[in-house]
Amino acid sequence: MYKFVAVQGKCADSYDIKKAEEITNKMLAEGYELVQAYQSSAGSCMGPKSILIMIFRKQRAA
Amino acid sequence: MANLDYLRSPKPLSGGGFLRGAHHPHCERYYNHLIWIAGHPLCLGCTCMYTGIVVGVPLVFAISWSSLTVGNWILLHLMLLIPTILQIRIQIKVFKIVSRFILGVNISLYLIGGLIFVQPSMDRWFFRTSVLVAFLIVYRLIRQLRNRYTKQPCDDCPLGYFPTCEWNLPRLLAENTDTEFLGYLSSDTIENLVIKQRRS
Repeated sequence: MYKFVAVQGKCADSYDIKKAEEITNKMLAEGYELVQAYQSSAGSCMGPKSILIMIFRKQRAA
Repeated sequence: MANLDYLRSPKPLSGGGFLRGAHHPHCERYYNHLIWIAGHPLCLGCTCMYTGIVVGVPLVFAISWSSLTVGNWILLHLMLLIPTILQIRIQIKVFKIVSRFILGVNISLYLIGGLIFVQPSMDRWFFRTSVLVAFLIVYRLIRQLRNRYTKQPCDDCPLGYFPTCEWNLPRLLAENTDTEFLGYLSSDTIENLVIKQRRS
């Protein structure tokens, strides 16, 4: 099972890496491990903003 | 602790942007955020605001500044801001077009009038600096209100959250060659592509 989580920056801003780390730790506590992250950019009203896509995989029970 | 290495060096993703000038996904859920001109989607807010700014420039010269006190000048611009503040919660397209246009006119009248034409009783440069500082403060306040109270069309979309939503899936598949990413997208155990969006 995969879950995609997107974190986007505000207009003309980068995403908040600390928020991404918080989400990663929270997802781990829920049994999902981060397997990859992708970065994209999108035009916004005040300039380009960054979007981080995190991909999580359900950990198999030991 | 989670493995955070992926966050520090994320891979590049193509197909996650918007069409030039659109500033939003051009799907039907963003109907209130887009204005279509000659078949091309444009950001409604920016298009109407910049139109208002352009229209506001000649209007500056139509105002009798000598008969306008500083108090009335401030009151005028606060009143012109009301539609912008109301529009944060009123997501009706026609109202949004009008409010953003008025905002643009307001910006022209405020900045050009305040920096050039208004005759304050205080020091001229102090007044000009105050005009700019007040502009930035109001801009930040409205931006914070927008970020806090404006509902995002992706939030309850059954197709997921842009850019990794089913609406954008064909574009992601066409523009990305990373086999690992394509593998995730085509996995039959994926949970509706995107589960959560956290605004930073």
